[in-house]
Amino acid sequence: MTAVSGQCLCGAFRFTVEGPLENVRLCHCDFCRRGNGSAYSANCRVPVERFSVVRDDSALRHFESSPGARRHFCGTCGSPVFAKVDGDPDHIRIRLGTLDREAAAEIVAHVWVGSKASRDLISDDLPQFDERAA
Amino acid sequence: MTATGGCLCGTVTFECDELGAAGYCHCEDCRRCTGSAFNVSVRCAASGFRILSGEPASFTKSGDSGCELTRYFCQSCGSPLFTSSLRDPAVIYVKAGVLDDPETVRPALQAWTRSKVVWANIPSDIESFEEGRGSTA
Repeated sequence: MTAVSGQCLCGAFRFTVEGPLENVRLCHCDFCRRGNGSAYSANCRVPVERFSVVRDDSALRHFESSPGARRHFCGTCGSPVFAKVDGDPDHIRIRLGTLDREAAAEIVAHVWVGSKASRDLISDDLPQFDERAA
Repeated sequence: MTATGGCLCGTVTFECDELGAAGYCHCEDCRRCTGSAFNVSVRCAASGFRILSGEPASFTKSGDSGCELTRYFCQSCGSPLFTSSLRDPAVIYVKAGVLDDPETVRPALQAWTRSKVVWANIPSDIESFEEGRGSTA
């Protein structure tokens, strides 16, 4: 099965993900905007067994942005790398920006567009949801 | 007009006297720094930028341009906040996503488009540069 690799900005945390990157939602909510500093968060939910840590210099930290949802980031360079949700322990939500550039992902929708900034023009034909995807 | 902003957990807050030009950057470092398709940054004079609360952590690395950049983030929640450059210490580049009023930002260009990922979503009608922005804005 094809694996793609990724890492934080400084390289203290490196990982691989096996299999296709499907059902990616671009989230425009206020948490994702502030948590990433950009227009949206590009999140891919994958089963934990497909996620492997290659290097971990014990730099990872996390912030519980909402009850049971923890956003993990590198404490050395600040890169947001993944999130975990207590109610969904079998999956991990990786941040696509940390993947090597060659990784291809299937983007399926923009979510929480009701929260997006007006500067953030959505010019594609993907489905949009004011809140969660249906 | 003074603009305010802050991290996800509220520990670090800041204000800047006046926001300048804004743009998208698709370079690899900006992608990893934000975990997203691209970075959206807004120029602000360093003399008019003030941290109101908290103490951000920082990480310094040379970007694709060869210029050394220091990226500041919240050490409690990880929010990327702003960047400073050795090449132009009079300027602060604020991360547009952490501004309290995102409507004040109007990106006018995009840079490092040669590094953009296939899944980036960008408007098609703004100015583009394959590498740095040069002297624009």
